[in-house]
Amino acid sequence: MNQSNCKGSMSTASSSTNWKANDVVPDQFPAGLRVLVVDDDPTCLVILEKMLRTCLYEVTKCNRAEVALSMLRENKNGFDIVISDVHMPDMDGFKLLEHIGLEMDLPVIMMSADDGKQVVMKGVTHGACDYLIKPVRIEALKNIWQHVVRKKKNEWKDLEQSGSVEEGDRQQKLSEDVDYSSSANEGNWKNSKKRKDEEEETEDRDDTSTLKKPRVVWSVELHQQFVAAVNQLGIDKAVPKKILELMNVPGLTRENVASHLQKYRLYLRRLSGVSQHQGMNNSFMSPQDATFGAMSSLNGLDLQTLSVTGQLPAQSLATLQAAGLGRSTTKSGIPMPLVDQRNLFSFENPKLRFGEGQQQQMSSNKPMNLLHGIPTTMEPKQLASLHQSAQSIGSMNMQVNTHGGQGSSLLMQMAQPQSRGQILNESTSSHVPRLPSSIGQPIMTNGIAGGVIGRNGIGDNSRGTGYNQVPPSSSMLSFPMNHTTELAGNSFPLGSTPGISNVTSKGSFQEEGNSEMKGSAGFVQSYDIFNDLQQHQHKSHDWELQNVGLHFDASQNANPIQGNLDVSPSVLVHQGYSSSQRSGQNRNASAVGRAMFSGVECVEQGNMQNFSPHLNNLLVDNSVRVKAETIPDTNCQTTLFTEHFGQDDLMSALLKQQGGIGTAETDFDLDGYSMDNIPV
Amino acid sequence: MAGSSLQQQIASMRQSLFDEGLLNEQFIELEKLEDASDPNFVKNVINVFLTDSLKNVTGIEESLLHLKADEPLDITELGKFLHRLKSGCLGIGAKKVPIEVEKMLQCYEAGDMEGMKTILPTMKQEYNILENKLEAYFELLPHIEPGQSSDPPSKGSTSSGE
Repeated sequence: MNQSNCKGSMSTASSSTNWKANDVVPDQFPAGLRVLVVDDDPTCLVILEKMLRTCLYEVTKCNRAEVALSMLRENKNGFDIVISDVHMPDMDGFKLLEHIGLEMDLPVIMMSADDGKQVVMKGVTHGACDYLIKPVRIEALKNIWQHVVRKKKNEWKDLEQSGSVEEGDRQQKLSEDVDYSSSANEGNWKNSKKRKDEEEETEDRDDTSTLKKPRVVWSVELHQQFVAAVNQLGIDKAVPKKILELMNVPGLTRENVASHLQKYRLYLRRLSGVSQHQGMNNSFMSPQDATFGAMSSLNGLDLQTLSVTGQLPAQSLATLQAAGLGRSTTKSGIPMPLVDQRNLFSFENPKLRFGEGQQQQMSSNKPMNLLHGIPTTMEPKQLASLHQSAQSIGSMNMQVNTHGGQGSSLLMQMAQPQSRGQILNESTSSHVPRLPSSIGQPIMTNGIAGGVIGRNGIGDNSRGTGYNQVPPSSSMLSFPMNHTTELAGNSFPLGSTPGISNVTSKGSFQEEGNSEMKGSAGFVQSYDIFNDLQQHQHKSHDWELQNVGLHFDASQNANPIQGNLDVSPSVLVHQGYSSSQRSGQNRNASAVGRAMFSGVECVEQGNMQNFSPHLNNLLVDNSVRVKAETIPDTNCQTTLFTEHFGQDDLMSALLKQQGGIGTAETDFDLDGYSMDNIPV
Repeated sequence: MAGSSLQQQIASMRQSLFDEGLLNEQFIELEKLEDASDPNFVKNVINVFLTDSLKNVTGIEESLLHLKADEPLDITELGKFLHRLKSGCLGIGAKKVPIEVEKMLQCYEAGDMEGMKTILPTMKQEYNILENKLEAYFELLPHIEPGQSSDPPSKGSTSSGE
C-alpha cells in the first residue's frame, strides 16, 4: 500500500501525472488522481484506502499529520488532493489544512464523524474544499476529483487573465470559443487551452509573460522587501510598478507584485477588521476571519491570490499567512449557521479571501473596492496578474480553494467580466439548483468556486444594470466589492462592480467557471440564496449562508443571467452577488447562482459520465459559462459572508448593503439591469 | 469454502450481527468493497478494528480511572482515544458503541469527567458484545489468501483496479 509516496498500485500512472492545469485531461481521468489520506484511525485509513483504490485513485495513507506535511513538502507535486480527518493527535486537522493551503495550495477535504455545524463551518472557513462526514461512502469519494479540476481550472483562468487583463477580449474570445464548443470534447478543451496559450503569448501587456511565469516564491526576505517598499510608498500609494522598482528584484514582475500586493492588502484589511468600507463585512471580513482559521484562509487567500497571480508559492503564503495568522490565531467559529456545509465552504472561503484581497487592491487602484474585502472587481490588471499567477500556480492550484481564499480570488476576478457574466449569471442561477445533486458530498470547493466565481461574478454583479455592460470602469468593480461586504453574503456585490471591466476576466472565467462549477455546484446552492437575497434584498432566510449552497434557488431571481447561463455555477454565484448589490443585486445573486448551476450542472452531468470527455466539456463549458456568469464572485462572497455572519448578521448586512448599494446602484443604473429581465 | 455448513454458519452469524443491532449498512458497504483481487478485505478491516478499538477502549478506561478529580480532561489522551474509537466504530458500521462513545465525547468536551465515568460501563458492555461477536465472525471467515494481515496486501500491483 502506499504508506509513503509510492504511487502505488495505481495502474493509471500516466494519468496521475497529467493533472497539471494545462495538461490534457487524460482519458482515464480521474483515474490516477493522487490522493493523500491522513487519519489516525487505522480502521478508517484502511477503509478509505480501499475505497479510493476502488475509485482508481492512487492512494497514500498516513496516520500522522506531521508526517503528511513532510511528505507533501518533500514532494510538492506528488499529490493532487489531500483528505484529512479533523481530529488527530499530533496536529489539529484544521491546522494541517491551513498549512497545506499555504504551502502547497492543494485541495483539502476534511472529514470527521462530527457533523456539527460549527465544525463544518470551521472547515469551510479554513479553506477546506469539502467536508465529509464519517462513515464516508465511496460515492462521496468518487467526486473528489472535481475539486482538483476546479482548482486547476481556476489557475488557468488566473494565468490567462492576469496575463491579459487588458486583453480581456482575447480571452473572452477564447472562452467564448471554448464555451461555444461546449461539445465538451477534449478537443475543445484543448482548443481553449491552446487559445489561451496563444493569447497569453501575445499578450504582453504589463510586460508580463503571463503565460509561463515561473512561480515566484515569496520568501520571507522577499516579502520583507515588499513590505518595506510598500511602507515607503505608503499603502495607499503603493502601486505594483513602484513597488517593483523599489524592490529591485531581478526576475520579479509587476504581476507578481500586483498579486502579492492584493493579498497583502487583504491581509491588512483583515487585520484592521476590515470594516472600513461598508462596515458590513465587518463580521465577514472582520478580524474574526483573521483570527480564526479564516485568517489563514484569508491570508492564505490573499496569499493564494497572490500566489496565483503573482505566483506566490504556497510557502510565501504560508509566511504571510502565518504572519497574519499570528495576529489572530483564533479560529473564529463563524457564527454563521451552517446551513449547508457545502455551500458555506465553497463560497465563503473564496469570497473571503478574494474579497479582501481585491478590496485591498481595489482601493488602491480604483474605487472598485467597494466591496470590502471582496475582490470581486478585480481590475483588469489585477485579473491579469491573477491570471498570471494562476498560470504559474497551475499545478499548485489544484486546490482551487483549499482555503477558499484562492477560489475566491479567482472568483472575484471572474466576477469582473460581468458583462458577460451577467448573462451567465442569470442563466446560471436558474440552473443552479440543479447542481447540488451531483455534488455528492458537500462540496467544499468553496475555495475554487468561490474564487472562480468571485471573479466572474464580481465583475458582473456590479453590473446590475445590464450585465453585459461590464463597464470597464472600475467603479463597477469596486461596487461589488463593497457590496459584498455589505451583503453579508447574500448580495455579494461580488461581481457587482457594475460593468466590471472584467470582460477580460471573462475569458478567464471560463476556465474557472468550469472548475468552479464543480465547486460551485455545491455553492451554487448557496448562491441561490444570495441571489434571492439580492433580489429580494431581504432574503435573509435564503441567506443563511448555510443554505447558500443549498439554496440555489434558481427560480428565485429572475435569471438575470439568462443569457449566459452557461457560466459555470460558480460564476453564477458571483454574479448573483453583484446583482444583489444593486437592486438588481438580488438578481445577480440568483443569476449567479443559476449560472452557477447551469454551469455546474453541465459539469456535473458531464463529469459523472465520462470523466475525460466531460472534463473537457466542463472546462469548455465552464469557460463558456464563466463568461456569462462572471458571477462567481457572488458565490465567493456568499461563502465569505456566511462564515461570518449568522443569518441575522447576514440579513443585517444585506440590508445594510441594500442601503449602501443603493448608491452603488445608482451608479450602475441597475434598473436597467434588473436581472429579472434578463432573458435566461 | 470449507463447506456448506461453514458457509451457513458464516451467513447466520453475519445475519445475527445485523439482527441484533450490532452492525448497520456501513458494514455492507465494506463487504461491497471486497473483490476478487482483495478477498480478505473484510477480514482485514475487522481485524484492524478489533485491534485498534480495544486499545482505545482500554486507553479510555485507564485514563478515566487514573484521572484525578481536578485534573483537566484534555491533558490525557482521552480525547484522542474517544475520537478514534468513534471513528473506527462508524467505519466498521457499529451501531451501539458509537452512541455511547458520542455521549462520552460530549461529556469530555464539557469537561465532565464524572459523566464520562458513568457512561463508561455501558460503553464497555456494548463494546464487549460487539467485540465478541465480531471476533467469532472473524474466526469463521475463511482465509482466502495466505499472508493477509492488517493491511490488505497490495494485490493491486497490477491494474487490479484497486
